[in-house]
Parts: sequence; C-alpha cells; structure tokens
Amino acid sequence: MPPRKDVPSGTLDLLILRLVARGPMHGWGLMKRLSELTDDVFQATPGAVFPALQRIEESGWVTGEWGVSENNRKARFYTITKAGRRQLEKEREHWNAITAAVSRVLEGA
Amino acid sequence: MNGTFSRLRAMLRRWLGGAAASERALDDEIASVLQHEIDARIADGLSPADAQRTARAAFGVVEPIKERVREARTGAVIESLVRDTRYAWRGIRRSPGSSLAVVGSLAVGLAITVAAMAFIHALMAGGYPGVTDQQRLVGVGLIRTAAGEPTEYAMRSEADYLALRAGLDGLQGLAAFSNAAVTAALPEPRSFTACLVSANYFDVFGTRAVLGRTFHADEDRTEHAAVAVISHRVWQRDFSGDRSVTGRAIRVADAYVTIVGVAPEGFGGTTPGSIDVWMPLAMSRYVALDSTIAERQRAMAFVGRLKDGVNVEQIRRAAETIAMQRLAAEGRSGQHVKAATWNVAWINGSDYPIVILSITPIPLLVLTIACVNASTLLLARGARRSHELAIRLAIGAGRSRVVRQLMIESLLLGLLAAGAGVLLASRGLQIAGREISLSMPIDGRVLTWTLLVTLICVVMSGLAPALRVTALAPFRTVGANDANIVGARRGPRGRGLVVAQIALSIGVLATATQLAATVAAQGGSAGTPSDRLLMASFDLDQLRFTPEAAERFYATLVDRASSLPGVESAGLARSQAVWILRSNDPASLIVWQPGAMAKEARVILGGYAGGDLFRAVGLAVLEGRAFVPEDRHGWPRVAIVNDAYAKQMPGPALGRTLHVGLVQRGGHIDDGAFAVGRDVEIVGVIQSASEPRYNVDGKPVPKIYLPVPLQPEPALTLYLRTRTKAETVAAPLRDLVQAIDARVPILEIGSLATWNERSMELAPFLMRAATFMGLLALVLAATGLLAVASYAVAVRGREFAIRMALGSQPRGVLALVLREAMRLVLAGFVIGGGLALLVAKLLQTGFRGAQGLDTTAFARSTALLIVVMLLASAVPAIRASRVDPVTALKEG
Repeated sequence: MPPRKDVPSGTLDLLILRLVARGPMHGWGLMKRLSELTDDVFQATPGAVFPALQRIEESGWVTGEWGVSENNRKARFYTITKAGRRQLEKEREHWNAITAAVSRVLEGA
Repeated sequence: MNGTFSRLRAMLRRWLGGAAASERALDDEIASVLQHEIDARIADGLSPADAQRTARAAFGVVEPIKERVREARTGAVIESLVRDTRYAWRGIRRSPGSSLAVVGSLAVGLAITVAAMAFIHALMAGGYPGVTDQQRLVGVGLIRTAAGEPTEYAMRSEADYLALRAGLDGLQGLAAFSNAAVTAALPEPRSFTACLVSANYFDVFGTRAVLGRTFHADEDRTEHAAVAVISHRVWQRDFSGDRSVTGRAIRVADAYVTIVGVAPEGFGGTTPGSIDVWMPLAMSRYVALDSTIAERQRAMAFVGRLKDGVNVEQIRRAAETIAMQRLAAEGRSGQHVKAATWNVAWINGSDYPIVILSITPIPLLVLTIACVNASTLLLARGARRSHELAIRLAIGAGRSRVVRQLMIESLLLGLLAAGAGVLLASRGLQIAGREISLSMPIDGRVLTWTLLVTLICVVMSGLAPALRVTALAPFRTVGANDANIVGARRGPRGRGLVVAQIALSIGVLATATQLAATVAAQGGSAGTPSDRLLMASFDLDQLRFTPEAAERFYATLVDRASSLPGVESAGLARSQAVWILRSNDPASLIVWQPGAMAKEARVILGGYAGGDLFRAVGLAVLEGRAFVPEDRHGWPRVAIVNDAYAKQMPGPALGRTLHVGLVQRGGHIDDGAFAVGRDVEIVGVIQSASEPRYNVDGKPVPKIYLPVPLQPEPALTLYLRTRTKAETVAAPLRDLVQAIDARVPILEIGSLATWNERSMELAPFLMRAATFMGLLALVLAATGLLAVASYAVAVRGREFAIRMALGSQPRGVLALVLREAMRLVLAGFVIGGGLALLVAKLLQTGFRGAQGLDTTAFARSTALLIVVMLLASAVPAIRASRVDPVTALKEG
C-alpha cells in the first residue's frame, strides 16, 4: 500500500468541487468518496475536509443545506453554485496546465 | 477573485449573526459525520459499542479540527483575538484581587516612568516655552582679570553690550537683559520680577506676543516709551485674562507704564516662569535703577541668535577680540579678558545634568521592580490556575494558543495599568508643575513612549510566567502539587525576584537620601538652623525713600522685629552679604591691603552688618569682638572679617588696617574708588558661613563686614532668628512692616531653607521626587514579598498541617514563615546596601561636594523596610499558623 498523505489543501478544494459538481453530497459521503477514488493515497481526514468545506462555502462556490441522508440521518448537503462551476473549470485548466508542464519536464528530461 | 466578496459577506453574516450559531452548526455537522461513520462501521458488522469506539478513534480529537475550521474562516485571526480577549477578560474578572495587584503595581511603575518621560521631554525637547529654535541661542559672557589679582569682574555694562552687539556679526541679533525685583501697583501692590531688556530681546528669542505686541526697535533708546509686556501668568492672575488689558497703565516701581502686550504662556527667556513684566532698558532710569547702587547692581546678561553655519567658538573668539579692543581703548593694557560662550539650551551650563543623570535610573528601577512584582503575581496566579490550564492543554489547545491567551491577559492588565498610570502621572505632573513652574504635558510623543514601555513591561512581566505555567506536561500538572510551579520550596526563582526587589528598593532609597543630603548641603548654612532663620527682603529705592527715611525705616524695623514674640535676635544686611542666595544682588566691597596701589584691589563680599546680624544667623565671634553701638556712628572705622578671609592674610588679622571702598559706575576700580574709601581696623574674626556651591578650592568665600554702610543702603534683608519654625513669625512680621510704613512691600520672605530651595531651582524638587520614588519602590517590594510569602504559605498549607499535626505550635509555624521572609529581607538588604555604597562612592568621585552615604537615613530606611516587610509577611504567616490540619490534609 502506498504511503498515505494529507491532500495538499488547494488540491482538496478542487477535488471536493469536482465531486459535488455531479450532485449534492454530505461531509461523510465526501470523505468516503475521496478515499475510495484516490485508493486511500490521500487521507481525507475530518481535520482537512472540514476546513476545506468552510473555505469553499465562504467563497460562494458551494452552498450547504441541512437534509436527510440515505440512511435517514441528519446531514449537511453541499451543492455546487454557478460560481463554483466556473471556479472548477478554472482550477481544472490550471491543474492540467501544471501537471502537463511537470510531466513534460519529468518525462522529457 | 470572485470569491472575495462572498467571503467578506460570510464573515459579516457570521459576526452579525453571532459566532455561537456558526459554532453550533459546526458541532452539529461534526456529530453528523461521526454518526455516519459509526453507521458504516455497524453495517460492516461491528457491534455498536465497537463501532462507536473505533469511529471516534479514527476521527481523532475534535477540538483541533474545530480549531482548524475556525482558522480557515475569513477574519479568523481577528475572531480568535476577540475570543482570546474575551477569555482573558473573564480570567481577569475571575481573580479580581490579583488582577488589581498586578494593575496597581504596573500603574505605579508606569506613572512614575510617564512622569519622568514628560519631565525629561519638557526639559530637553520642549525647551524654553515660547522660544523658537532654541538650539541657535548662544549666551555670551566676558570676564576681565587684572594681572596678579585673584578676583574676576564680569563685563556686563550697557557699553559692553553695545560694543558686542555692533561687533558680533556672526549673530542675527544680540539681546541684553537684566532682572530686578520691583514693586508694582495694579493698583494693588504686588512684588514683581521685572526684566529690563533691549528692544530686540523678543526677536532674539523668536517670541511673539499672544496679545498685543512686543517692543519696537527704538523703544530701548527713548525714555518716552514707557511700555511693558506682561507675562501670561500676570495676565491671567492679576487681570483675569482680560483681552482689553493692552493700553492699560500700571505703576512699576516709580514709573507709569502702558501694557502693550502679553508674552506666551510660560515664557521667561532663559528662566521660564520667573518673569512677571518686561520693560525696555531705557526704563531702568525710572525703575529705581538710577542710583549709584543700582548702576553697579545692574548686571546684564547677553543672549544672541546664531546665523547659519556659525558656531559658538567663533562667537567666543570674536567677543574676546572686541573686549580686548575696548580695554586697549581705555588704556587698561594690564588687564586681560576671557570670553565664554555657551549654548543656551535648557540644562546647559548648570548643575543639572549630573543631578538629572543620577536620578533618571530611579524611575526605570521602580518600573523594573513593578514589572518583577507583576511577574511574580502572574506566576502565582498562573499556578493557581494550573489545573484549568492543564485541562485546556489536555483537550488539545496548542501551547502557543494558551501562551497567547495568557499574554493577551497580561496585555489587558498592562493597558489598564497604563491608563491608570497616565491619569496618576498627569495629576502628579500638574502638582509638580506648579511647584517648579514648568509645564509638562503628556503629549502624543510621551503617550507613544508610554505605550512602547507598557508593551515592554507586558513582555517582561508576562512572558516568563506564561511560558512557565504552560511548560509542564498536562499529565504531570493535573492533580499535581502546585508547589512545583512557583517552587516555594525548591525553585529559588520567586524568592530571587523578591530579594532583587528589596535590594533595588533599598538601593534607590539610600541613593535618593544621599542625593537629597548632597543637594541640601549645597545650600547656605550657619549656626542657626535653616528652618529657624526668617529672611525678608526690602527695596526702598523703588519707593523713592530719602536715604534718611530709609535709615529710619530699617532702624525701626530691626529694633521692633527683635522684640517680636518668638524672635531671638534680628540683623540687617544685603541679601548676599551672608550667603549668595540671589545672583542679581551683589553685596561687595573693594578692599586694599595696607600700602597697596590703587589698582591692587580685591572685591570682597560682605558690607554693612546691622543689628545683631551675626547672632541672628549664628556666626560666633572667634577672635576679638562683635560690633558695639559706638561703632555705628559716623564713618566706619572698624571691620569684622570671617575666618576664611583672616586665614588669607599674612599674619594675624586682628588689629590690621584695611582700606575699604565701593565699586564705581561701570565696575571700575580706580583712584576714584580708592578716594571714597575708608581705613578700617579689624576688630573681630567670625566663623565663615557655609555655602559649598561657591567655595573656592574647597574653602569658604572670604567676607568683610562694616558697622555702618559706606553709602545709603535702600535694599536690605532682615534676618530673624526664631525660637520655633521661622514661618510662624512671617505673619507678625508682615503686620509689623505694615504698621511701620504701609507703603513698603516685602519683596521676598521665607526661612533660610526656603531661600536655599529657591536658589537651587530644580534640584530640591528632583531630590524630593527621588525620595518619593524610593518610598514607592519600597512599597512595591513589600507587595512583592506579600505576594510571594502568601503564595508560598498557600501552597505549603499541607506541610504546615503535617507540622502542626506532629505537634508544632502555631507560634512555631508563624516564626518559620517570618524567619524565611526575613532571610529574604536580609539578603536584599545586604545586596541593596552594597549597591548603595557603590553608587555613593561613584557619586563622590564623579560629583564634587557629594555627601557620603547618609548612615542615619540609611538606617532609617532599613528600619522602615524591615517593618514594612514584617507586616507584609505577617499576614500570610498568621494565616499559615491558623491552618486547620484536618482540612488542609483532606484538601491536599
């Protein structure tokens, strides 16, 4: 198993935006999904996810609403906003540009 | 970028909606996520209990998560500061006693520092009130010496002034001025200090009138310009600040003058606050300075304003050249001139710098003691709260966070103290300012410095305790004995601080009393105690008394004053005849040795000694006799010299004949002066009065006295030796003067002690301030001892309980606590005494005339310290002796 690392904080914001872009999600669901998708490479701990949610909600990229989860528990659901989608596109392009550049250097050198 | 407004909106919403709501929402969400995790684990087959346990373990401690969320919020720094401040405020309110003690300690230390800063600021940076660009002011003085003649003459006549003014082209202007005590009628009689000035005086000082105008250029030449500028104080006090005061006529001495302007508040040229009225030099003829006495009495001082790029040394050389030319033109080639120039900044050319330098450390020491006090108190307070702090650390508050909270608490206490300190200081400065006529405002700069000093204090007093009480691992502190923290038994820190405080306060007090003794010893003294000699000065010349009328007045005065109740003896002389307490009223005779040439003369202080002067001031006759009534008829035929003069004579003084004359117009000593002189025989030698400031080579000033004045003496001082405090006779004397002649005002009245104090200007005030600060330091140190002793007693309650359970008597415990406190006092006393001795030695080598350590004062302050310290430690000691063993052991 590869060593588990904390997700770099800016990146975590991007990943959360990407996940909620598909539909509203609550905090636990986000954490679970993040761990699954990254094969536990990134440790989406409460200590990282909660602050990230706080940040992107304050930035107006997601809105949080209390609702009822699939197993009938109270949970706060996060929905992406228009601004959030724009931000996601921007971040995604930025990410692609950077990773492409990094890859070019790593592979080409 | 688009997120910024949204973030600000979120922040505002949170702040307006209340932080509590968003905290609750966070708690709910964390609980919800945890619940989902538990559900998932149960679904995976774990028992509910195991699911709960493992989920919580995986989740980790909640508090740091919440902390990170809070930090992620916009404005998180401000919010957490607000939260910490609120928390700190609660902490302060929870222990009001120790908070008050910390604030009180720091407030006292800061008040003294603020006052000292305002004082030094007013002295240094503030400069002379109402004077522009004082760095350019330069004082000019000329001293003429004749070959082989020990006495020097200052050249400060009007002719000297005019020559200097014409010749010194490195100056923008040179002003002359001369002070005199005068009687003014407004019409109520007042005793004024008048300053006769050249017309350019106000221009040289760069001073503008706050009302009306100053003098026109020609007003010092024409005698018709009977004009005056009054001081701001006179304007406020005698004219109630009436703006129509210009144009009003007042009588000053024998002249009617029109008020043309009011000087700025506090302005007094180089002697702020001391002048009541300014008049042009030409007016001196009308202000009773026209008699021969007045002519030689008028000693002008010169102040110039430097042009750009000119320094005082260039002016000095130029002044010397001009003066030499003047002497050459007069054919006095045998004489030599020395010129002196100096920057007329506030404290230059006086005795102050050493005094100021030596007391400046005192406020800093007091502040240090106060900080140490606050530190001890905060340490004890932190230790009392160690349980709470340990819990906070255990549930995940970072140490830096707790330290920050404690520091914010210290900062709040410091700011409260600074506020109280500034209030205290401004009140104190008001009172002190009135005493020394110096306005010492607490302005923006002083406040800035205060804030800076407060911050330094907060760090000095708060950081160490904050670090110390948070340094212990939580598991060791929770439930552990608090004694570990202050180290009542083991750690010597708290005690070391107390010893340092006691040492410092003893040192301060001892040094302050030494300085006070040094300053007091600089004043005039003789056999009569300085609080039992009443001195009152008069000037009848201003009232146009004829010489005969003046003689009659003084004869009646001395006769009737000597029979006033409470008066032992009364004498008359010029105010400088015994001591040089005022610089503008010389009392000197010219004395020729037998067979000397006319110009081989010496100027000797003294002059007429009327009534029973020597007994009144307490100067015993060492050889020969005092004056007898037969001596007082016609011209003087006999003289009495003091011991200092007698010792300078070759052979016995008694029976020697001297030729005695008066300084003539313009200060010349010549055949004319010799011709009006008289031969007198020395019939007595008296003790020399002491006035160390004016000692020459460590020896008192030579003096000579005559039974009859050589010329009419309209301005004399009455010396009364009283049975009790001199001031008690002041009122009867006023009544007596009123009864003899209602027109005659007393120019200055007070005990010798008062005259001495006035003659030393700031020094006595500074000494009183230093002593006061020493006492405060002692009180602070006592508070520190009280804090540490009571704390040690509190944490050793268990130990005392065991001792008493094992059979110790309460008295034994009392003695134990007192003994330990006294050990600290003794250690502090030894160190402080050593420090004081060191400072005393340094002062004695660095400052001529410094007194040794005043052992009586030192013993007194030590006794005081021991009493205060005993009281300070007695309170907790008694508390300790009343510990109930059962309760204490149960609690422990």
